[in-house]
Amino acid sequence: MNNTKSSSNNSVLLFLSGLVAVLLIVLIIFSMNKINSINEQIENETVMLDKNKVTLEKLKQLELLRPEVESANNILIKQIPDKPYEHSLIDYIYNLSEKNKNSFVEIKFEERRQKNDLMELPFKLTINGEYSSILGFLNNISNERLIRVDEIKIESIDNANGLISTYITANAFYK
Amino acid sequence: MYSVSLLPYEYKLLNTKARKKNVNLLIAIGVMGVLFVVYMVLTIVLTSTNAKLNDIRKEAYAVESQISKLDDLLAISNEVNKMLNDASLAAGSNPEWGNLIVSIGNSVPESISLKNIEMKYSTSEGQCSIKGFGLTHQSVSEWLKKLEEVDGIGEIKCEISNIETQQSGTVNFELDFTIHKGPGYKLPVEVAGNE
Repeated sequence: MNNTKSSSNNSVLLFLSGLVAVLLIVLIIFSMNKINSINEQIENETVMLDKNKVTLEKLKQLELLRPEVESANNILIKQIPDKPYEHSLIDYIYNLSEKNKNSFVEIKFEERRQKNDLMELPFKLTINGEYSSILGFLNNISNERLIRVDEIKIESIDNANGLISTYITANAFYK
Repeated sequence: MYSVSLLPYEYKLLNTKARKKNVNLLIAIGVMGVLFVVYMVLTIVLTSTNAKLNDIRKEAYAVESQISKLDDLLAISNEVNKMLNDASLAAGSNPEWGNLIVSIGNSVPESISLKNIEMKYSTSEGQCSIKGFGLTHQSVSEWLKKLEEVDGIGEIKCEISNIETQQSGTVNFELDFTIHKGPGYKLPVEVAGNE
């Protein structure tokens, strides 16, 4: 009688052990999957973190140059404005002529066209003055606005006084 | 010596079965133990891996918050780089006209007078033609030699050099040369100086 009871208990224990073993195997598989998934996440996060560290390092270096970057930004915004602002271009050339003591005779704007990401504003310019004043004008023409000079024609108009006429073909730019 | 069991055969069979079950139970407990140990080890590894992930996330968050504080600077820097690129493309490789004219002007001796200078530059090629007059053919040739030393220009071709009229005795000349490409876009001096 006792033997039969003990044998039955053993069977129950064996069955329960089997269940627990299966449960443990399931948990082990689950844990392994989770570890793999976390390792993948760690890998991805580490790559992102490294990238961000590089960006942060660059930004820290850039922070030292903040005044220069802001100044460059302000200058570039003036050099390449959002609109053609022909009136400000005329004012600028007039002031530049005054500063260099030459005479701003004519400006003729031509058809605007797209070039890469910018718009070109072609114009022809006539300036009269002395040789040195024209040089000053040419050296400073691209300071406030971005101006690309494509053609220059210089003609002597008064040899005795050293006066010359300068015909300039150029382009200003805007966004 | 022999041990002799006097138990009936059925009892013997039951005893054998019970012993077998005991052994099986022991094996099952052993396997369970091993599996439990493996599970415990994996749990420890999982916990430490999780902790590592959390550490990395904390660090990433700290770095990101530092980056976000400098976001405005990043935006300005990107904008400046884009505009510099646009400006470089727009400005092309045109020569520094002022410097070129000064160099040409400085090479002109007193015996030469210039009437007309035409210069043009497009994409990557430039051309200059000059008309003028000199006192003699020799003064023209001397200037040509000096002009060859000017930086930023190519081979000089003299088209004509002739005496204008017998009365005046001056020598007209026309010459052409190519213009080399310039340095490209530069930010105005006050900024470039700080870079």
